[in-house]
Amino acid sequence: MNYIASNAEETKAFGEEFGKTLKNGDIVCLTGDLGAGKTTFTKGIAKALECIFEPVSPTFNIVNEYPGRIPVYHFDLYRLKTLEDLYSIDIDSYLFSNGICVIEWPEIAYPLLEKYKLVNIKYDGEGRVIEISEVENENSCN
Amino acid sequence: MKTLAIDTSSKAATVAVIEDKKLLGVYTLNLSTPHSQISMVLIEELLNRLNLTAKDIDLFAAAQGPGSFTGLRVGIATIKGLADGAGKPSVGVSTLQAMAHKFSLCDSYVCPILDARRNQVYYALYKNGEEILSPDMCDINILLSKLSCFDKKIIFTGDCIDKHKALISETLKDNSIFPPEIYDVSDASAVAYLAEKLYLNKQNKPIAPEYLVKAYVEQQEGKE
Repeated sequence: MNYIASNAEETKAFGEEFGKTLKNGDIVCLTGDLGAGKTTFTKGIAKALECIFEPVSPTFNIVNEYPGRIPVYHFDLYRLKTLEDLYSIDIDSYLFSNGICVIEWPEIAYPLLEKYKLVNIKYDGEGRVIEISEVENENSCN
Repeated sequence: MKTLAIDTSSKAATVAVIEDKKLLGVYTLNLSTPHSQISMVLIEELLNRLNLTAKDIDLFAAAQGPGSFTGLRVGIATIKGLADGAGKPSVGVSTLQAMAHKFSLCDSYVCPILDARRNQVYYALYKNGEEILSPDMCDINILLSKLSCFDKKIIFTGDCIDKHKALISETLKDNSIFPPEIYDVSDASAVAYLAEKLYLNKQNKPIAPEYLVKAYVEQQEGKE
């Protein structure tokens, strides 16, 4: 599924539409360059799930938790380098929770994920192209 | 001698105070509320009801794993903080040994298992309170093939019996025994009892969390 957003409001609005399709325990991986709109897209997801606070960048905290109709756990794994780093934040307690995990810079966590929704945001000069796909990882350690 | 104990290594949060091996009070909540939000509240409430303060406690104890990573950190940090504040000793007790304790008079082997996710379990094997297999983590199928070679009656208890019961009884047939589900929830009074015993026998060691995850991580990283 592809979508083109010409500004931040549209990125967020599409995030909200996408958020309405999510269910407890879903995992969303967000990829795209710095400034592509990953956090803006997450704001839309959180709005759809009636989170009380609007997400801000998780870069510093690594994970931010947002209580809502379904809780949203918003990750930025950029600074984590090994599987051991992932265990040091007890990532399984989020991945196997009833909430929704939204993961920016998710590559390091791929071996732990059996199934996830991949959202890739690309800047093409005029607007953002948002591509969504479902990924099943047969090589995961699940 | 009064002992305050906490077990936050599985889903349940449980806090107990005993005095010379007699139970004064225990609070157990088998909810999915994070331990960080609930364990201090339970301790405070229990001490208030018993008309005690942290200063009246002579020994502090925590289940030190294996089990939930965040849970263990919360429980152990809480107990170490209280012990330091009160100037009293703290003791660590094996989570699995505490879970097996209520079956220590049974004639069968006892295998407590805790969910380590991805089909993995933390397990150990005890008989009459003695450790037969030390705490470890592995795939449930590997554990069951190990135990089926054993060919003995085994009591299974722990927080993931629901998830694995069908597989266990199919594999071990009549050798698997499942006590009523109410006994599958961890109970801090066993932690307190074992802690007091360790302390009085001078076998207590400083609390050291046993995450058991590191070995697993190394194994996974080798696979990639």
